[in-house]
Amino acid sequence: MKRLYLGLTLLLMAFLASLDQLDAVHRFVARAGVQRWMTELALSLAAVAFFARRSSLHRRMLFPRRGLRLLLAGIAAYALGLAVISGLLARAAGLLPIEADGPWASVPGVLALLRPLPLFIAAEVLLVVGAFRALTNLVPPDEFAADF
Amino acid sequence: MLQRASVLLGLAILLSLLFPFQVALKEGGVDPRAFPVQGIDLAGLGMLFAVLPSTALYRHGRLEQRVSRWTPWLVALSLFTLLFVLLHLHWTHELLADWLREAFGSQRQTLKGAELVSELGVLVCMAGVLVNLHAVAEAPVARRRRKKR
Repeated sequence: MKRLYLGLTLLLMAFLASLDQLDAVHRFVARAGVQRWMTELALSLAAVAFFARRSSLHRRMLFPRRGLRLLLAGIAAYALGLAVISGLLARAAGLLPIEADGPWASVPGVLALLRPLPLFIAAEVLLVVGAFRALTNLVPPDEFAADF
Repeated sequence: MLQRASVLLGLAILLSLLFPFQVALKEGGVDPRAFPVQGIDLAGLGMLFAVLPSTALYRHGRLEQRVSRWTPWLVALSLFTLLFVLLHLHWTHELLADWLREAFGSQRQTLKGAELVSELGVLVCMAGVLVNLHAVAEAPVARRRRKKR
């Protein structure tokens, strides 16, 4: 369930980032030092928590669970994208004791070629398909109401 | 037919809003504002591009069998989808803008508000449709007749 919650939160953050109408809200809260991603994260967390509670997601998910591996892959790709965009990956590669003639000598060069946008797009594809598979694998509402 | 179209278009709109294809165009050196397509703006074009993946998701989730009747969520989804399409086709957008200018004196803020309402409406209603799907009726298992000994 944590993967589904995190995946839905990341997807909702991407959705909110595409809304130009929220620019005024971002400018207003920026006066208090709040960055854009913080507002989007707070709104997304609140919305996903409300949605999960109202739809009783954790009680309605059928076994075997579907889509959770895709969600995990999407979250990992998103984390990799964040590591690339923040420079963490390049710094981590620089700390590794790689020999110039060794088999891992080309790793820093490969890591330097990584771009964040393709990673974020791949992450979103995985998260969309994973979340779709998970949300279409629930106990139907009339059966759930009859049982509970 | 209308139910199927509403769900397909709703999924397409949601997918087009989730993916930053305008940023991808800019990174590829294409100016999103200079897109030479008549009659539809970039958001509408994104929705059209997303129809193919939304069709794939629709078939994968067997939504045709699981969305069988009109529910409040589906009715609301179809209305918000229609509003989104009207706002992003040039000629209907101009009609709406002219009417709002004559009726209220200003149309920019109202149109921006209508776009926000349509996008949020599609998101909420699509989530409502997905968590209220019927179960898929499983095909009866073919049983082999036992031979009498």
